[in-house]
Amino acid sequence: MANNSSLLLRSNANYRSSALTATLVIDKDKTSYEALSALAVMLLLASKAYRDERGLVLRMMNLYSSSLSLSTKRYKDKYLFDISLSCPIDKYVGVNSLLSLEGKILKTCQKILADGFNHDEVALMLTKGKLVRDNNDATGNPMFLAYEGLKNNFFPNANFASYPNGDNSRILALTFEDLEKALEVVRSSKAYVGCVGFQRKAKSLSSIFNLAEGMPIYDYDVDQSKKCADLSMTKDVITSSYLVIGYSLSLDEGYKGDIEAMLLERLLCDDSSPLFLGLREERGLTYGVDVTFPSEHKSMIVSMVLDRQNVAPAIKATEEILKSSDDKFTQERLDQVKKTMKSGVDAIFDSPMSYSHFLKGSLMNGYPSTKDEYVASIDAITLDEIKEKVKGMRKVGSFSVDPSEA
Amino acid sequence: MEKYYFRRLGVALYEGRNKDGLSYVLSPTKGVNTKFFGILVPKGGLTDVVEIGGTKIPAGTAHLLEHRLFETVGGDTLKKFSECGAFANAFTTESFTFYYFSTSQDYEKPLDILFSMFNSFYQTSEKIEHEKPIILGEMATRRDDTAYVMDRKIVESLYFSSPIKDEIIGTERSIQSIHLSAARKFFEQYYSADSLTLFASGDFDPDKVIRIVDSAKLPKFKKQPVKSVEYKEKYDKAVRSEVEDVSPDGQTYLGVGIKFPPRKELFEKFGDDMFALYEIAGSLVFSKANQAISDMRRDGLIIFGNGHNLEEAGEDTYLEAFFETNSPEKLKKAFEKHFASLVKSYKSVTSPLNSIQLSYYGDSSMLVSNSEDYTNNLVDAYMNHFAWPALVSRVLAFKKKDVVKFLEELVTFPRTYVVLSGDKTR
Repeated sequence: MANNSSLLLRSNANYRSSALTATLVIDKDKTSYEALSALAVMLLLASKAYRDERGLVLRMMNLYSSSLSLSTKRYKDKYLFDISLSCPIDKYVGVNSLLSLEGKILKTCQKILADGFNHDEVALMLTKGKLVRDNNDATGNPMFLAYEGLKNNFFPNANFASYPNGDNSRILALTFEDLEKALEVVRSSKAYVGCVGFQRKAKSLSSIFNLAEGMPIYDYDVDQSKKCADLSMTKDVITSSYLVIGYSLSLDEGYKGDIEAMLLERLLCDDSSPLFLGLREERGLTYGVDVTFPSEHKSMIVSMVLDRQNVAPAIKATEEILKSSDDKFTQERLDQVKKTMKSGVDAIFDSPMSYSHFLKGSLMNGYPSTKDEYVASIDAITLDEIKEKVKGMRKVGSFSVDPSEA
Repeated sequence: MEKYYFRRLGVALYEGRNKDGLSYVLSPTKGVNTKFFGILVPKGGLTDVVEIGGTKIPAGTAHLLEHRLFETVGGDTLKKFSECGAFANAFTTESFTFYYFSTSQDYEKPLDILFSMFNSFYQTSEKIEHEKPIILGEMATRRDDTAYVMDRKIVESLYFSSPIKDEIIGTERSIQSIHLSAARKFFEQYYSADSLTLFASGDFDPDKVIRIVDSAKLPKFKKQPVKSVEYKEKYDKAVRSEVEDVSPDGQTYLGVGIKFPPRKELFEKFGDDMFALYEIAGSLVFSKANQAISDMRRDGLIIFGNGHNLEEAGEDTYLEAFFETNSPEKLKKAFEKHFASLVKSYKSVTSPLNSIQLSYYGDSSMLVSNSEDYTNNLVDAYMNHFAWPALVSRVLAFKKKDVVKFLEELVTFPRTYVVLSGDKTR
């Protein structure tokens, strides 16, 4: 194991593949989100090494389906540029050459970042088209529109329900100059790298990525000051209503808050939860209900698909159920949920890709980096703490996207 | 019990049957913490059976029973699975129903719970009626989903009368007409111990699981006479060669559907190779390894590919793929050109077959570590009486001429194109 403050290498001895996740942390004043999104596509388009493509992931068919993906995300007050690599371990696919699959895929990654993209107007036009189309895929989804309505009205500074590739008009205005600037920012940004496998490649990794010292500093808060209301919009073609209800709450900072969110998600909406039983089994208002905790532990969103006439009763019922739900949480139920969650933790460590993501996350946020540490942090959360969080929940507002009456 | 070892994937399968006729297929995989266990019922939602023992079986009966099976005489099994730290669920396909759980912890107790679901028919008319609105709610969640709408349009455009046209979930009317007697007849016909197969993968001791299976006492039921649907499908043409409809999400898509001849006919031509060809059929036609598909992407005719899928049920099989595009007409023409030159491209020295095989090998090798995906592949292949690792070896052994022979046939199969049009003003 190597720990260079921003590089974590773990063995792939129990796996059939190796995986690497590198995240470059980018300050918002250095480049635009749209330029980074376009850069990811342009770099992949420029590469001649690949033979197939799934979405924006390039799959190297001749390298036994090894894959490389580039993507951009918003995280707290930063942009992140993610690079993910995955390849089978040589012995499982009978590869016996001097340069391993790990070596080949790393070399390809290095070449992509070094070579950059072609100043090809047609490629840029296609890239812009892809990004706009991808944004429209999101806005075509009524549940996304419901989240967007909730965010615009009640959580204006939150990161959820953002267009996947940024603003369409800014995408269309991008120039090669913008992309060159973004590429320079990517090349010089500090990187956090989690690897399962690649242990003999530590030196190459240091030359490809600009490894950071210490964690990034974030400065991020979410404003939730609007007055509570139940809002809606209509959309043609759809046949069901898409409802989201926003709550404010205050979970702990850091990974403790993450774990509280994961526990609450299960406690509130798994098959034995008050929301599932109350909304689906007892009242028959919806087929399923989900709970998410976006905005860095400051909000909780309950979402469901339902018939239009069930929207108002579902808002009312959700409020009633949540108000009384802390009474239903027992130590036995919490222990049972923790047990299920630990199976989920094991699943993270079954997949080299999710394991490498986990390692990278631990470098960027000071989270645990081993399974034992993670499990111990789950065990440390008490029933009283969970009840206190639920008691502190306040409805902020709801937004539904409904089919037109006709 | 028989043990088979498959060198290319480096996995072993244990296959056997207990004294009640319950079969098992186990593939222990060292180091994979998440263990995945499931019971296969070899009947799904295909509406090929209209009566069992004189009782009408409405469309959607298999799926409704799948929902109901989690409640047993011993209580709510979902809750019990959860108490053991296991996640459980089930799904119904056209051909089979599968009940499963996954856990990284003790698997003995969840396995007992899984078996308990098959111990007796614990349903009442009230319970069946209570489930119907929930299923109608599930139906509502799909109606605005583009992939679902595209699949329905493709299958309706391909088939004249095959039961593959009917929805697994049923219709509002057929769901309302499901009675307790139909659910009971269905259960006793297909949920008998000698019809079921337990599948498992992950890090477990196969001998221990076999001991548990041997001590399981699942009931056996007498089979009733079955009345099957009679239909005559036309295999030389599609109902419509092109259909246009409104896209639920406002974007424009082109879908391609290919109707295969009856299974028996293809099996006579290709033998067991047919099932290995099914493994890669989608890639052979739609992968970017084909220069023509690569060109469609380069030229912007394909903006995003939304994957391809081969669906099998009874005698019928179809291959479908769909793409996001702004130029459906041009893309359709490009596909027709692609089909016209497909065989030639696989005969050429730059045949994409090798790339497809290497990529398939890499994907298959990595997939073994995911106990859920691995088990699902084992189940799919088992429904065709195959061990999936054997299919992988067969795919890797294909020569150019084997694939060319298949593609020469495939390009003559009836095709349909479905355009889902978005709002042109967007």
